[in-house]
Amino acid sequence: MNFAAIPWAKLHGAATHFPIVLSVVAFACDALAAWRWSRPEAHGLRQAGLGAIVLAAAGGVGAVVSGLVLARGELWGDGALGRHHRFVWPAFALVTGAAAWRWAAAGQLTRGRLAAYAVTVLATAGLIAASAYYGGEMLLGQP
Amino acid sequence: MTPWKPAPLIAALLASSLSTLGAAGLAHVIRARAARVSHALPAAGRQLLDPAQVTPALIKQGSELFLNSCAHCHGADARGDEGPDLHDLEVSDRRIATVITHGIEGEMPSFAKKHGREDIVAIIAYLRTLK
Repeated sequence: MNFAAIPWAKLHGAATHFPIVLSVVAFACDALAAWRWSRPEAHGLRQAGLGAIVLAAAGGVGAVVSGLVLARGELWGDGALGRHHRFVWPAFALVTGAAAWRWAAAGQLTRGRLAAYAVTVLATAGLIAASAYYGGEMLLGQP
Repeated sequence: MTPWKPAPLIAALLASSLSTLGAAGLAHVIRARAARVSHALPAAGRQLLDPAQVTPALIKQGSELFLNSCAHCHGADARGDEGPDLHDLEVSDRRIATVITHGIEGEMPSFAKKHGREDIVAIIAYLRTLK
């Protein structure tokens, strides 16, 4: 298999959009589910929230793998890459942790726990957005 | 109220730890592979320039090398002429070294024959003083 022939830049661009979008979707679904806890639609919202955060984490894994290949294994770096990584690593730890918690806690959710989780996911979405901004700066910003 | 169980929290901590450690491990593998296949400078460390090694003498040496090899295109003050301004560079030491060594096709010649690793480290030390 020709490792170098894989279009890593395109894969990175594609994979990064899953956590960018789905972390916001996960927050919205679970925040709404917590707000409308006893309403009939809450069950569907919780299901959607779980699916969204699991897919966001899966996309995050793809984004990190392709990103590390693009950065030739650089975990930190200078300039925009350094700023990008400053947000990527906490965001990655949080999104995978949030997905694992949400999946494992699905059967023992309470309104308060779901609300606290939603706040964590909102913070995660903010970190992901910041890392995406600096990722965009590397592509489109001034050299 | 549903009783609190530690399993989800443990799962979350495990997932976070494993994912970040996995990323660090993958980065190590990629760096090792890149060092093996790269024609760039050998990877003695990811940063060519150890801050502890930067001395006024090294910066002076870099300044002299810059005037001899780089000023013709980048200007004596490195503010740019035919080549770009080199103040406040936001690229890694490795990137600078690679550009000096290999040049940029159609834009900048290679200095691989003229400058070895020590020269390049001195030039980078000088360039980092340009704010």
